[in-house]
Amino acid sequence: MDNENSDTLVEEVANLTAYDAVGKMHRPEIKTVLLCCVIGILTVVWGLMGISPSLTSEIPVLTSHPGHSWTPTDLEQQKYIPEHLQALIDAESGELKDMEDPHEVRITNVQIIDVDGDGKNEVLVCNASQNTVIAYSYLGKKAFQPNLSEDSTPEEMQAEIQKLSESNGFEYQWKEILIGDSMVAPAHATVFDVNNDGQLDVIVSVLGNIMPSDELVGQVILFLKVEDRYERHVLLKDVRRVADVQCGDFDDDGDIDLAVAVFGYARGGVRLLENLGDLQFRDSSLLDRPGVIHVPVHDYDKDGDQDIGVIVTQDEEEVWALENDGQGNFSRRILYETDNYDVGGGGLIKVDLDQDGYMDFLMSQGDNLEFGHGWPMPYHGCVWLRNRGDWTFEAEMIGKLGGTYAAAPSDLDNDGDLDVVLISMSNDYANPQNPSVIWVENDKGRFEKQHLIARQPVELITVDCGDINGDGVDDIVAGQFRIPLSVVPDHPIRIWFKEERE
Amino acid sequence: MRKLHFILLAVVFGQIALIAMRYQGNGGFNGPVTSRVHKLETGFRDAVREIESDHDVNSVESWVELGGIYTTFALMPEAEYCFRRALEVGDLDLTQQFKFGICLSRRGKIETAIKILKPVGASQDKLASHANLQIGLDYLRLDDRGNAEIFLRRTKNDEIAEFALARILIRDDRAQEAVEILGRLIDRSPNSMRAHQMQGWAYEKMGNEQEARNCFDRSMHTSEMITIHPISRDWDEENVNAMGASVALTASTAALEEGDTETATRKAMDSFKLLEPLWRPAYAIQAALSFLESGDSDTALFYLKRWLIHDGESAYLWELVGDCYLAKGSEVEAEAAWLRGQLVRASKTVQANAECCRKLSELYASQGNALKAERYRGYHKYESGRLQWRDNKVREANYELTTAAEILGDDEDVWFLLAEVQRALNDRSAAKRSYEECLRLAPNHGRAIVGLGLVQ
Repeated sequence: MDNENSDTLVEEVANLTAYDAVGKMHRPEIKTVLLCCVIGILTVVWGLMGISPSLTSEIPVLTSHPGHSWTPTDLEQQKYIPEHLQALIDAESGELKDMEDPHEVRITNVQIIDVDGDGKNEVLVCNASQNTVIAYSYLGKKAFQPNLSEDSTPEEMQAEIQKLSESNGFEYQWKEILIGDSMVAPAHATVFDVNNDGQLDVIVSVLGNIMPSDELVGQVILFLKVEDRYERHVLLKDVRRVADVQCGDFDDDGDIDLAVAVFGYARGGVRLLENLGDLQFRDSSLLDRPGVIHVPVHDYDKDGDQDIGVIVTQDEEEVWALENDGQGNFSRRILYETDNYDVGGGGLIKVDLDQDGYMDFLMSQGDNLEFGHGWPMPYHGCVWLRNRGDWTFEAEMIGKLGGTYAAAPSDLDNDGDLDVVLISMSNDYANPQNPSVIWVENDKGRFEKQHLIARQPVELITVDCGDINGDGVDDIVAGQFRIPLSVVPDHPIRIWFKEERE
Repeated sequence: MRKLHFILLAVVFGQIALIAMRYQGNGGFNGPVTSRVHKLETGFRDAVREIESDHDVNSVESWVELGGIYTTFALMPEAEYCFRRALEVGDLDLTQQFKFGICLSRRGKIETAIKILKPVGASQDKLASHANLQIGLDYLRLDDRGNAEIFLRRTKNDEIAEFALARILIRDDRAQEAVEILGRLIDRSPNSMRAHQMQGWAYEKMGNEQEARNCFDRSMHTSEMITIHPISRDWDEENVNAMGASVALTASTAALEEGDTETATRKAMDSFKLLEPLWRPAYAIQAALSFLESGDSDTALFYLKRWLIHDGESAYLWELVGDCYLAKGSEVEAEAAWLRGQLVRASKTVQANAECCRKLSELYASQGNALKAERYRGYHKYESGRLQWRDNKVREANYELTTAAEILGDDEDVWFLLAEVQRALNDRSAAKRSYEECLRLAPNHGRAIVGLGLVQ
């Protein structure tokens, strides 16, 4: 570049700079400003048009109670197929265990109960894909050691980190006690000393098929504790799907009889197994109604004998009482009924919620297991049937949670009254904000405050409260039951250890 | 105008064009609907995404179709959104309006659903009766018995409505009318288990214990079941069967029926991929059947092992395991599997117990073990009799069970069921003998004691 040209260029640049510096550079033309604004607005409009509308359920977001918290941990179940079945299918030793296939997650019942009579609670689990009843005894906790090696995949590493963060750095240790296997779909286990020998036995209600079926596939199996093992006795067969068995000396003859809830499908009912001694029982029908889930036994009218509460759920949606005359003869009473066939009764538990000396019921509503239709409904939640005496029960909705499947009472806030934990099977889980475990606070007999416990795991079917780790405070256990149509993480059994805050 | 303004104006026009294109693509200013299909298995998820990508935003039909798909998979906010967008595009016909009502009903917006459904119910449309049923059911969900009754009565020959109405009447101390409604239903469908059952409850309410017992007895050996399964549930099943893994499964089943085992196995494998990450036993059964039919028993056994791990044992599983071993020439293992299959009660595949017994009988006969062959022929007769009894084929059941009792005279279960069948045929003396035989073998058989009391 020569000097003359160079000077001209410098002068032009200087002119431009000077012109811009005093003129349009700082005060642009109004047209330019307007055009820029229009461009900005149009960009925003164009962008907004690309955003999908927010399509989620209108469920209010729940928050945790600031004064109470829990440490969640999974109770991991080992793959288990009885050896005699492995032999039948010609599986070599360890072959089935090494296959990638897992058991489907179908926990049907969890309880916190002393199974072995040592004064400490176990977690008793009915598993309807493993077809087992197993008690898990808590051994303590130790510092979490991630199970990682050089070959660990990123997913495995992430899972271990997740476990570490969720368990507050602890690993919980358990001892498994196998009570029984090789029964198709155990629904419930009742711990009771049936033969009065001072040892706790386990009575298992066997569905025979976890899915709806009206065939004669149900059983009642007694696992009789003999020394350190359980002896198997089939007490009832050739009935429809059995969902619950409860004990009581109904005829006042000094031995234990059994009330049997036959869920069936379209046909079911309540049967009485009268104890004839020597593990012989004679069955008779007390009620013919389909969909009986639970038969809690208690002296509801305080007349000195054992009555039976019954929840009927298959379209009828009723709660019955079978009132005992003291001799084992029962008369029927309807305590509650609703025309809403869709409430989806999930179960009935007995609890004196207001502690007035009369045993009440808690009824969970929200079974929404119809094919692909699981959706929270305004009437899902927990109904308190308050026993006013003289066989009058008042119904009050005390908790709302979409897809409520089970309820468990416990004094969660340690204020001397009973609160209620609810779990959900079919909330709108496409929205991760929706809860799966909540508790309803008992505030001087009013149940208006609900608090979040957990959003995961989802698709829970059973819950119980009790002291698992012997610290004198109730913990929570819940079991998961996977519906075939939905993709959600597997956490078959989750425990929430209550943390005591200063 | 300066050059800068031209450029800016060009940008503005470009943006307007882009907005116009997006408007056209979206069918308005609202963004495209993106459903939360992550909760669905691979096949359904891909199929729904494909339907979404082919969706015509300017078509009422397309919005309604998409809304229907979302309704099937309980993606309810998405479904409602689609129906509302359809309303922005144009009017809904009565069928579309019915579908919108179903969507809102399932979403829990029951009062709004009723408002949407009422014009359909009041019309002469083919869906009018279905709409009245849905309105009636929705009023029941609102615990409004009075309105429910009005709309349930407006349905035409709808068994679901008749059952719901009968329940209302029984609870409302109008059981006599319930008996009559259910009686007409039984005239039309004599094998309707639910009608006999509910008629028994109506008689019970009226204090007529004898008729109640008769109805109960009939309900024990009739098998036709009608639960609350309205037309919208049929549409769900159509939707599900038309997409994802179900399509491959159906193709595999059809190919197997035609003897095309190559296609059957290939489609069965495809169905597993589409099912991921979920699992359903029907897919393992189809794979096992396909491989077994194609002569590959080991692969069939592999799928049966997978089934055992996932779902636990069942009678049908052991029947198929036995079939695999027999195909491999391992009779001892086949026998063991079928013996187990006889013990585990079958439910969905009810014939499996009978089939295990038949196959055992044939196996023993082929081995020259006449005694065992005859005993298992008896068990086969017993299991066949059970199946006939459950389907209300009482005379056929009597024939099978009489033969079974001749062979298995030491089995109380055979005598009990034979007695029940004989009582149903009003052959009281034969029933009495059979009950007594049952009680001789099992003195505490509670149901036999009751039965004997009824025929004495």
